[in-house]
Amino acid sequence: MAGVLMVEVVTPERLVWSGPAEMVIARGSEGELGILPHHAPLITRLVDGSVTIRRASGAPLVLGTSGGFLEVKPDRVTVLADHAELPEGADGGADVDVGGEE
Amino acid sequence: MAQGLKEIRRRIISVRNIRKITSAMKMVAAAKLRRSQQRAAAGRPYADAVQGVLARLAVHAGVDHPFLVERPAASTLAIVVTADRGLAGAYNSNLNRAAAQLLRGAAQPRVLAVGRKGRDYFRRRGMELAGEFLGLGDEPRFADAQRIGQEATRLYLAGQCDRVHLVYAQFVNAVTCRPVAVRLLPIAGEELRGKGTKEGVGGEYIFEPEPRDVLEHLLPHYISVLVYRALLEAKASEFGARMAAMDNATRNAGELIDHLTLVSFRMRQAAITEEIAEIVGGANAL
Repeated sequence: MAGVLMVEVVTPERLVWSGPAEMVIARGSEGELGILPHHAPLITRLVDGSVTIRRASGAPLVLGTSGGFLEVKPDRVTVLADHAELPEGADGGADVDVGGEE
Repeated sequence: MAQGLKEIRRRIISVRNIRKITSAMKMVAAAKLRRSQQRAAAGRPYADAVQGVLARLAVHAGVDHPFLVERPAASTLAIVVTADRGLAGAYNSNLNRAAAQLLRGAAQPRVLAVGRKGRDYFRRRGMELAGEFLGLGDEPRFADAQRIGQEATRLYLAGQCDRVHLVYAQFVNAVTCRPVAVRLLPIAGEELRGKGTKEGVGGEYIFEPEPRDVLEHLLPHYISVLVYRALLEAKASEFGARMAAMDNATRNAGELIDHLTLVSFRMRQAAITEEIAEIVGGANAL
């Protein structure tokens, strides 16, 4: 199936990850969601857990998140988490501030 | 005469030491300014996203909420964001003056002080403080903004204030900042909706769970985002102001050193001339 999702994972303090993906799996307040391109517009609350981002190549990226919201537009997914952690050693996708604390 | 010369030399040394300190402070402020600008930029995607979601929520669901309801303004709360420390030129006093001006016309004014300088100012003037948040450090965290936002919304929902304003220094550029007062609560509903239509998102949205429930969780976040942005901008402005103030101080110290050096040379020359005159006078007398 054609189409890609532009995914952005943001927290109040920084942009955690952004890039293209084929599918996003997240746990919403009403249950687990799998989002493919051309999904209907959706806004939901997220529960603490993980957000899985399946990319065209490579292993799926699993981010630990707590709190927040998920917004879906047909070609775009935005994860607004209170906190989000990339797995160890994952590359941050496009233009990401890896700095954080020191 | 010789005593005066010694005195001046001592002053030159002390001014020189002060100049070392001010120029170090200037460089520290410049480095911190850069960092806080980066942090302000890093927080922008989230702020934009929250604003976007809220706007679409307002457009598509048309919901109501205590935060969006105008009440007659019987009492006003000002959240005043100042620095904890001075040596930043007119930065703190400009903010305090802007806040005082905002509250002058208001009935039952109260202040929620963020930063020591604002707290001290309003305490001295006998203003009732609704609370204080001190020592947020050079890098305020989102959690700090949340605590401040929660306190303000608590007071608002409890009916202890009908308007909440946020007074902080808007960052214009490294040498300019502008004290501004923005209304935090109630949130102007039209403003939210306006942003939503401008983006022009067609189609129906699915909300999980109810729009009302999403809104209830999102609005406090929105408040925190606004506070957080204000904290970051205020920090950047503070460092900018401190940098400018320390730059001035360094330059003034340099001028003072030049002046004092000139005076000391003159005095030394006068002393030599006098000595020669004495010797010549003595020789002539023989």
